[in-house]
Amino acid sequence: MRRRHIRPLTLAAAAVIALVIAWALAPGLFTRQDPNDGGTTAALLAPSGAHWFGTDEIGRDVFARMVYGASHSLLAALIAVGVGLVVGTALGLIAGSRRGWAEDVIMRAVDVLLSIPALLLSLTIVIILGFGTVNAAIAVGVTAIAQFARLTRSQVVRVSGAPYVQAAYGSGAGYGSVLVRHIVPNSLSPVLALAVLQIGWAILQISTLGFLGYGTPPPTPEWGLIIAEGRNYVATSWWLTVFPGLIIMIVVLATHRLGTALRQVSA
Amino acid sequence: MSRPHTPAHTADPGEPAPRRAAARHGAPADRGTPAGRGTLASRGPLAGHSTLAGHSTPASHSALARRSVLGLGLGAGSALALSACARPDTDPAEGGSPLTGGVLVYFDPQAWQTLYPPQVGFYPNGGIMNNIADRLLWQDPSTLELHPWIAESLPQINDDATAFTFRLRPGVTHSDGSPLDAANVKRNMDLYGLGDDKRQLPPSEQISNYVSGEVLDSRTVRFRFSAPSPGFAQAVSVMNAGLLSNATLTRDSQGFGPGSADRIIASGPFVVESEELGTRLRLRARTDYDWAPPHLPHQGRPYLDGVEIIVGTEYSVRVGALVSGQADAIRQVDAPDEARLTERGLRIVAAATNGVTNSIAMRFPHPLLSDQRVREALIAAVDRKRILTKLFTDNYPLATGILAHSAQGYKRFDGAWRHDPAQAGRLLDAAGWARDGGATRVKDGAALALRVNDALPQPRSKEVMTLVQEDLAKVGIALSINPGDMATQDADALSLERIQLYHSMVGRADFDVIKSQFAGTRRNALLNYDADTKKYRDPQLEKLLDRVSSEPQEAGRRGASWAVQDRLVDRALVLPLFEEPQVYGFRRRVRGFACEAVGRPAFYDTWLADAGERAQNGGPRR
Amino acid sequence: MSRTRPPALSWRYALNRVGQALLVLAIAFTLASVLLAILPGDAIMARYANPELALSPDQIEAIRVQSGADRGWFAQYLTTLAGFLTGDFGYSVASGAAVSDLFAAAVPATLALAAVGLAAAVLAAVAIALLATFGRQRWLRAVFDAVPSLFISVPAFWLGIVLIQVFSFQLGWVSVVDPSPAEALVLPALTLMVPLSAPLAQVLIRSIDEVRAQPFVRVTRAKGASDGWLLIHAIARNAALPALTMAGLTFGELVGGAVVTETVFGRTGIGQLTSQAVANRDNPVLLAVVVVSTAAFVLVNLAIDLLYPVIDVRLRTSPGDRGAPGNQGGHSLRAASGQADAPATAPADRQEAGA
Repeated sequence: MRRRHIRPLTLAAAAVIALVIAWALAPGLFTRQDPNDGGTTAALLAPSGAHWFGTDEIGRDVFARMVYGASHSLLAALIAVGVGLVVGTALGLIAGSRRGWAEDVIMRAVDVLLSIPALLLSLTIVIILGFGTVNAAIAVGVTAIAQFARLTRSQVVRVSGAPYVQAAYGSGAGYGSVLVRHIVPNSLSPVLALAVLQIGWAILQISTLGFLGYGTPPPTPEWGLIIAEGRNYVATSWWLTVFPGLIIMIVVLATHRLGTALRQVSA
Repeated sequence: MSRPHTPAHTADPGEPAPRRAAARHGAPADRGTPAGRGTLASRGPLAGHSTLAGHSTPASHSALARRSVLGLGLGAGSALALSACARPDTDPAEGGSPLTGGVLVYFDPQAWQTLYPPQVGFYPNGGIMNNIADRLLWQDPSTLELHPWIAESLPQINDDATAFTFRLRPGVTHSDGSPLDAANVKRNMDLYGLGDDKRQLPPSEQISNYVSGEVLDSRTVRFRFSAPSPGFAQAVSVMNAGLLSNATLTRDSQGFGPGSADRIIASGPFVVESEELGTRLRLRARTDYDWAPPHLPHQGRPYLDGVEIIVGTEYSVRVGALVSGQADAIRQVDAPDEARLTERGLRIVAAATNGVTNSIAMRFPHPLLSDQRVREALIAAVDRKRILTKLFTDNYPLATGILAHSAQGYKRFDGAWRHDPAQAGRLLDAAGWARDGGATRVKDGAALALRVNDALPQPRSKEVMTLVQEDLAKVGIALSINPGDMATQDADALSLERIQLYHSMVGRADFDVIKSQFAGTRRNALLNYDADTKKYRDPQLEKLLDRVSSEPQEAGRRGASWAVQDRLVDRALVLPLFEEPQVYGFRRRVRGFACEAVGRPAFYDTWLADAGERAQNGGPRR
Repeated sequence: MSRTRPPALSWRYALNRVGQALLVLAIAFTLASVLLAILPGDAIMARYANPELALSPDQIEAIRVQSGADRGWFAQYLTTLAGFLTGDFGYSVASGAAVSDLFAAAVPATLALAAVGLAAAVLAAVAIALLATFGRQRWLRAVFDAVPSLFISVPAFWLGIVLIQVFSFQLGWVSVVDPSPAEALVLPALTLMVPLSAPLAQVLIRSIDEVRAQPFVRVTRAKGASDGWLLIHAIARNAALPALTMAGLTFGELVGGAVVTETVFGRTGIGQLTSQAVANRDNPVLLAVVVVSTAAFVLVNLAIDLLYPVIDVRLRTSPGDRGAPGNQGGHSLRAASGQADAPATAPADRQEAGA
């Protein structure tokens, strides 16, 4: 394997994720500033010792907003991936193990999901469900279903053909028990690796919805929204956009690293 | 908008403005000695077409008067004074007489939607219509007085204001060569007054009780109304009554939409040259234009060769384009950016919108708000000054009435909306809303939780409401901000269940503006009219509103407007926040920018200080 | 991996795929109609309930009746379907413009952007892959090996905003006001290129790795074949399928990418049309966007599926080697691939195929 040299990078990625999870769980440990109330602080202050990432257009500390925003953004990403994972895996399991018309129906439905532009689908779902963090996350999750369904199905098909599964059927085990005992455990690890990879993707998609005005409503410090609000002042106050953008990038990069590493282990 | 900008006001009365009362009785325009002309003398250094006067307090006004020598007369009121203070203008190209030529690059935040005049209230639509179509009368944006334009004099109006007779100026043509005559004017008003359901063209909001038009001769036309309609004279001065050619008037709703801009033919100083769907539109000067409002010192063709209107939905792109010099002008500058732009030598112009102030309407039909004490508590809880200092600049003056101080029918209410959280607490206690340990007050098991819309077209509505939310939380009222995009907000705003506090404003330079905001058949801001039962919850309020548009005389209309305002204040139905301007950003080369009375751009007087150089350099590509 | 035999390059297979494509299109149309029908608030409301116009509820209701928006969903669905089948996309409710006019203006702009963006993405992917595998220094290889992950992690809207600020407003290299056609394309295409190139580059890197690890490479090299030619040939063959699949899938992202890119750069196009239509609840336009982009996606992927047997020589010579070409094999290959992670999974899939 020529990828051995990335080990330290994987470690670094794990550290980044750990840090962000810590932000999400105990934001108060990392900043003393209030993320939602700038008090009397001046607006649009440049980065300084007191405000690492500067202050935003109503005087709130941008670093504090990023720290407190971690819980919203991570939670949203987890919900999105959760929706894709649960629904997609279920569909993929049925399609892969049931074959026949059930498979045809499911896979055509998946084709349809895949062929409608994901962003358009998300926007539509947000409008139908109503605006809010959770709804935006669900909307993003729906567009991830297709990939999980397809991967799961191909895994199930692969595992089902394996000699030990055939042997299990041969020894008289029922469909259900084979599914639970053999097929699911052996199909799942690439699917879970995909799920980790998708977290980064979900963060990006949710922030894109936020950017277009269909994400988390203010004043919640969701990351996409922070960029979306700060971008107005990028010509005059670049820090509002650049720092949050870099953080999102680093976090997504880290989840991607971890996901890739996991996949290599699972493959 | 502070009217007292006369000193800096070149577009100011070439004649002493005939009083509207006089006009109503058919007195022809009094073409007296041009008291205002004196200002022209100062035009050299001033170069001021500050039709645009910004919002300024009386104090900053006097500053402006002094500063206007530096101020290049964009008339930005206090903003200008502010910028001039921050950085004295040393541009050697200041002043001088207007130069002809050049194309102005102008960024608008949104794409235009329709050029059917009654529907051009939306700023991007209005920005185009205001420049391509002339009107019968011209309203001075700083004094709000009416002056002749295509009508060669003010209309003759009968005593009960049910018949208006206009005498047209000769020789006016549309850009397709067709004459702008009495028959053409009648066709325009018939459409705007009655609408056409078959073509999905609604009538104009401003024209009520319209019956018919009558061509008396090729230059004289009379309009009849079924009830007194004193607002009609003002209505024909706004772009919603922009005069179009006969061929254009046959178009349907789709024919006025995007893709057909260059086929909207009118008689204005600019014509639409071309359009790129959803992204840009080019206006070309009409070189044979010779019928500007006689009131203006500038006559003949517009100074600019053209205007390039570019849609820049991204705020950062608009500001970046302006800062980098790629754009000459942009509409909508956010308050936090004003100081940064002036620091960089750009100009900020705040145009008044002359209407109902940016305010919160408390929808009393809702059970939680039906108790006047609750409404009074809401008012006492909100710290308006904190909102203004925190979010806005001097261009956003604290509201002193339901209407902006420059609006028709303004009445000052001192101390009506005083910040007193302790009093708010007492009122809520008295009304039976108790704090049972929780953050939000409750009564009979119900929580005092309200929802406000996010007024997307209004500046920083979300942030304003975030601060209101904080203030209300302190006295135990929970406020949530309705999430959603424009379409969602508009739809939710019609529902009492969704929206109990309605944040909005309306700009219109006529007494009717208050009716536009509160009448059941208009915006119905308070939801006084119940669309389901078709009943008014406060019929008295509606009756008062009706009087505003039916009193034939100005004094009567003012009285009616005041009566409405008194009722709104006495019953604690409205919390006005600030007078909302329309804020533009400019490069210094742009001179003589003006707005109509509600802050839409008028490029007729605008010129570029380096028009000559630009011409030598070949001007912009394309 | 599928055990079905490939229907040996048959018409039946082709017809089957075409039929499936049409089916997908029909379902997508219906699904979109249903979703749009349940959107709260319609275009009539979005347009006429705008307080700017101050129409009374009764007036709005009259307009709704006049425009046919009050009819039942199914009646509207049938009308629209008949229209689409005859090439009539109807009219935008928000602006009244014919949808076909809006598209005629928007499609060429988006196609130009997509073509340039895609071409740039392919070039960038090849360059990244070559540098990541054949780079002279170890650190150079490491850096470029990480580039695809980096590219995938950049929020596209953020990149667009930063690019335009830096290159247009700070450096003044690109005019946003008065750009030449090429100038107008550079930054948007770059914004689009970054996320598109990443999956392609990853697929290429993996393919090169695999080819270099295969015994036959060493054997042929020992026989004296030219190193470069051999590698190119082998890599091209090995990478063709996954890269093609990836390109087909990427196509689906173009609309989403265009929405963001065109919004940031203020370009005319399908993306900008889409975001405005969403804001205005302009269902006729949205439906047309869905149908046109779905059709494009389905067609491109149909073409790729039909090309599979032609391109992959190995499939024809030894069909049992990698599973079925079209339907099943295509699924499993694509199953793994997807928006952000696609590349990483494709090779995994390949491994199992080869196993």
